[in-house]
Amino acid sequence: MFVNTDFRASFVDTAYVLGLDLDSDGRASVPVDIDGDGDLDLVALSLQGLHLLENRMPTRRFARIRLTSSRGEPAALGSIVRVETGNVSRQDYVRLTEGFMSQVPGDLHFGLGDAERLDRVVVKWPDGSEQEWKNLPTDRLIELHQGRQEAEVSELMRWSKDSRPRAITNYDPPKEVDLLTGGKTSLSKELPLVLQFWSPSCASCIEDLPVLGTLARKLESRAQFVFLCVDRREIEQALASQRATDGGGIYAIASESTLVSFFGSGGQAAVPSTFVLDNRGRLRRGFLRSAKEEELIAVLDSLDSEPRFARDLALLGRSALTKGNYLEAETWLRESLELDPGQVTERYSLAVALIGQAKHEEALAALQALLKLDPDFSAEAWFNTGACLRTLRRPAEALDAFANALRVRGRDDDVLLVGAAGAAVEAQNLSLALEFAERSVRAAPESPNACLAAAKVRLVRREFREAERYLLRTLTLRHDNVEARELLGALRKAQGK
Amino acid sequence: MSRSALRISAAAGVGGVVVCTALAVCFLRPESPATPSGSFLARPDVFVLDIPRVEDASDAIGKSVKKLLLNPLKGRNPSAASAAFHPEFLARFPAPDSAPGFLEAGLRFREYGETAGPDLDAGAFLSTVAKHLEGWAVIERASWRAFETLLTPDSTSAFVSAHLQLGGSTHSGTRGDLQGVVEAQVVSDGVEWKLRRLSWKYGTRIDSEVLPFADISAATGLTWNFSDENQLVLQQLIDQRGPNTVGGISAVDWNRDGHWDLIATLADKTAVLFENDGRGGFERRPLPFATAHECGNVALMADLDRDGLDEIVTGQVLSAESSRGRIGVYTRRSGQWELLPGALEFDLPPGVRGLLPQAVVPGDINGDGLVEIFVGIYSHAGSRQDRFSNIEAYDGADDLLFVNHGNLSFTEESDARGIHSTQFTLAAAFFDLDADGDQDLIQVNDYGPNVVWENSGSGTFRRDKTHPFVRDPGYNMGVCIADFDNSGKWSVHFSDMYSHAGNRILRLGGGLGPELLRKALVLAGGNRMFESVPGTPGGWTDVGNDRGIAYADWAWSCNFFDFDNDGDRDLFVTNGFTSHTNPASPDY
Repeated sequence: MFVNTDFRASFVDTAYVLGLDLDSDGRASVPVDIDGDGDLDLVALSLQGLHLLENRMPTRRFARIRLTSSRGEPAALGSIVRVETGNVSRQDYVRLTEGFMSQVPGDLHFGLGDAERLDRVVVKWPDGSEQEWKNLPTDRLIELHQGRQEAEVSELMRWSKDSRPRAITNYDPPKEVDLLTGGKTSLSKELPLVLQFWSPSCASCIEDLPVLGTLARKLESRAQFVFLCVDRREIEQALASQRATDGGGIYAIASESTLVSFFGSGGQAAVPSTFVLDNRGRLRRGFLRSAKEEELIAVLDSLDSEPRFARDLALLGRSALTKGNYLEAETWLRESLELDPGQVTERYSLAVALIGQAKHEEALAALQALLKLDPDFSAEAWFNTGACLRTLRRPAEALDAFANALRVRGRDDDVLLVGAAGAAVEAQNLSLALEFAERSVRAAPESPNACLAAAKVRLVRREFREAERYLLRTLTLRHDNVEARELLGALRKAQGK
Repeated sequence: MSRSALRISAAAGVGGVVVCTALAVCFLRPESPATPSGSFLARPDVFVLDIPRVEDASDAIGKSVKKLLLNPLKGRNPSAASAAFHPEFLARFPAPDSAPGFLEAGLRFREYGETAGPDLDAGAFLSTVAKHLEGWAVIERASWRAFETLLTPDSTSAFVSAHLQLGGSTHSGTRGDLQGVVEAQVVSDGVEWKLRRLSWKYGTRIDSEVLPFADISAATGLTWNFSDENQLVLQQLIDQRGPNTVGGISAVDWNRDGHWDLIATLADKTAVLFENDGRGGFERRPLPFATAHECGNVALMADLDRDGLDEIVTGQVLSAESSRGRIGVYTRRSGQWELLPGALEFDLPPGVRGLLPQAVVPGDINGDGLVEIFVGIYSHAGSRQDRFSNIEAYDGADDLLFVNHGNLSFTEESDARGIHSTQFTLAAAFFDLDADGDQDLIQVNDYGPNVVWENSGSGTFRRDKTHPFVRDPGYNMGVCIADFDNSGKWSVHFSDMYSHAGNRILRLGGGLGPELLRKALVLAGGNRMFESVPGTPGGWTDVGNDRGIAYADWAWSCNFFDFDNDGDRDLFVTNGFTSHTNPASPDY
C-alpha cells in the first residue's frame, strides 16, 4: 500500500503498518465500503482465499456520488466528476472495472478531510455536457441525475454498530471447557462447533437459549453446540437458566483465554453472539447476535461444500505432462475427466500422456472422443490421431486424420504433410504420397524431415535419382541425420556406386 | 501481500538478453562515479561481470546476513548478531529519534537520509537497531534484498546496495516498520560473508497508532469452503508454481438494498454470491452460472440494455462449435435468470481453442448510451509455441470488441473497428486519454508492450504507436487511473513485475547498448506510473520511480483510493506469485 503523504512528493509503502501486508499471493482487489461507515474497506482475492480488510481509520468527511445519465449508460460510465471544497478541487471518473479482474462500485467516493460542505460539484456527462450543483452536504450518498437540478441526498446503508464483527485472526478455539455443573469436558474433534456466548443477566440471551437448545438437539449429528457463559460471578443464575431450557448442547464457563481470543484483551464480550467453527477449528462465521436456525443451517451446509475441482486436477496433470511424467499425468487427468467429462482440452492432454506411454489404442479412443465433441479442436489432435492410427497399422484411416489436420491448420504445414505422406505410403497410395511429400518440401524447404520424407517416397516409387538428391539435401541441412546417411549408403550400394 | 524476493520469469528474460556478456569472466570499470560516501564506503572500481558468479555471491551474502544478523534480531537476541560483523565493522545508521516525526493518517512517519556520522562500531550499531525494535512484542519482518552486488575480482569482498526492512507489532497490535536502502561492504571469511561497512542511504520509519485494517473475512463468512482434499490439491499446485491467475471479485448491489454484495469467481471451478446481510456478514447465494464450465475469471454485472436491471457477463467461452465461439451473458426475464447463448458470439478459427479471457471491460465507444464490451484474452491452447518471445510476444489471443445494438444484441467488431491484437492481454481500461470527448482504450499486456487504441470519435480505433505507454515491453498485469494529488492532471498506473535479480544483473551493464539496457531496466523495473504532463513528448511521463511506487515485487491488481478520507488518493497494489509450502523455497 503506497500512501500519498503531505510531507513528500513520493508515496510511502505502508502495507505492513496498515495491516495490509498479508502472507498470501494477491490477485484481484476492490476498495468498497462494505459496512457503509463512510470509508473504503478492501476486498481482495488471493491464491489462498478471500480477504475482507475492514477500514478502521478514524472518521473523516467524505462524499459518495452516484450518477444517472439521460442516455442510460450504467452508472453514467465515463462521466468525470469534480468536487470542490474550499480551494481544493478533486476529480474522478466513473468506471466499473479497474486493476486486475476486479469490478469496482460505480459510485464515486471522495475523501474530504475536514471539509464541511461540498461547495461545488461539476459533472461532465458521457455526452460531453456539464452540469453543476452547489452547496451539497458531506457524509451522504448524493444521487445526481442528468438534467435534474435537485440532488437526492440520503444516509448510507450501514451496518449497525453492535453488529460490527471483530477481527479474529489469532483466536484459540477451546478444546476443553469447564462445565457449569462442575468438571471438565472435551469438545468434539469431528464435528463443527457452534459457540454461543451468553450471560444470565442478558435478557435477549435468556430469550434465545430455549430456541438454540432445541436447535442443538435437532442438529446434534451435524454440530456440537456449546453455550459459554461469560460471567463467572453468576454461575448459580446460569445454572438456573440452563435447567429452564431443557435443550441440547453443553453449558460451560468461558475461560479468560477464550474470551480474549474472541473479543480481544480488555474487550467486552459481545452477548449474545454465535460463532461457527469447522472441524479443524477454523472460524467460518461470527454473528454478534444469536444466529437464526436458517443461518446456522446455511453455514453448516456450506462447510466443505467445495470438493476437489476438475480444473485443479487437470492443471496437475498438465504440469506432470510438461515434465514428461506420463503415468502421473494420466492419473490426474483421468481423475479430472471423471469429475468433468466435458473438458476437451484435458481429453487431448490425456491422449498425449497415453501416447507418451505407447498406449496407442487408449490414446486413439481419447482423441476420437475429443474430436467427436469438437472436430475443429486442433490440427495437433488430428495429427496425433493419424500417428496413432499409423502405429496401429490403419493407414487409410490415418490418411483421413491427416487430411483433417491440414484442414484445421488451414495451410500447408510440413510436419502434418510428412505424417500424411507416410500414411499414404503405408496405404500404398504412392501418387498421393508424392503430392504430400512435395508439398511438405515446398512448405518448409529448409526442413530436413520434409526432405527425408520426400526421399523416402521417391525410394518407394523407385525414383532413385530424385531420392538421392533429397537425401543429399537432408544431409546438407542436417549432416548428422543417421537415417538419411544409412539410406544414402544403401542406395549407393544398390546402385553399385 | 507476499513480500517476495525474486521474480523468476523476468529474471530469466533479462538473463537471456545478457547471457552473451556473462559467458566471459571479465571486469569492468563503472561509468558512473563512486557514491559520495567518501572513504567510509566506496564502490569498487573494478568488479566481476560473470553473472552466475556474482549471483552466487549475492545469494550467499543474503543468506549470511539473514542467518547472522536478521535472525538474531528477529529472535530479539541482538548480542547473538555479533558474528555478522567483520572486526573492522563500522556503520552509519539513524537512531529512531534522529529525524522529526510527521503524523498523517494515524501513522507517524520519520524520514532518515544519509548520515555523515558518527561511525558506529558493532555494539553501538546493535544498540541503535535495538532502539528501533523497542516496544515491538514480535518482529514479523526482517529482510534484506539486494538491488546491486559488485564483487571484487578476488571474490573476497563485495559492495551491496540492498533494501532492508525491520517490522514488528506491539502488544496492543499496532505496528512499526523501518524500511530503507542501505549500502554495505561485505567481506568473506571463507565460510560466511561479514559486514565491514554499512551505510544507511534513505528510508522511512512508520509507526501506526492503531491498526487501521482488520481482517474480518472469516467472521463475516467471506470464505471459500474448500474441503481438506481440495486444499491439498491447491497447495500442490501452488508448490508447482501452477496457478497464475485464479479468478476475480465484483462489488455489486445484487438486490439493490444499498449494501454492497460481492461476487467471487474461481475460473473453471466455482463462483459464489456473497450477499451482504447488512448486519455484519454475508449469506452465500447461488449465481445463475453454476457449473465449473460457466465460471470465468470475472463476472461483470451491468445494465447492458437500459431496462434498469443488470446483466452478467462471465467472460467465459461457453462453447466453441465449428467456427463460432460464445461468451456467457445472463439476463433476468420475468424475475428469472436466463442464459443468452448467442448474445456474444464471435469467429473462432479452427484449431483455436482453450481461450483464456481475462478482462471484461464495459465502455460506450460510440456515444449511443449503450455500453460495448471489450474482452481481453490472454492466450489459447496453441499460444506460447515457436513464435513466443518472453519479451515481446504476439502469439497470445485475438481480443474481442462486442458492439451493443440494444436489446442485448451484440456483434463482434474488433477487426472492423481497427482493433487487431493478439498479445497476452490481462487488463484494459476505457478512458478519454486525449480529452477529445470519446473513450480510448488502454490494453494492458503481459510479455510485451501495452497498446493505446485511440478512438476516432465514432467508435473506430487507431493504434497509437508513439504513445509513451506503449514505448517499452513489460509484464503488465493491471491498470488504474486517478488524479491522485488533486493537481487537475490524470495519472495512469500499470502494475508490473519488479525483479531484484534483473536489476542486479543489468547493473553489471556490459555489452548491452544504451537503448537495450534502458528497455531491459524497464522490464525489471516494476510498476510504472505515467503522469499527464502537457508539453512533454507524448504528453505523459513515467514517474514510477520518482513517485516511489515501482518497487512492489510481482504486482497484479491496483487501485487508487483514499483510505483515510484525507482528500488525496493512495495506491493499493496486490502482489506475490506463489508461496511454497517449504519456507526454504523461493516465495516469488
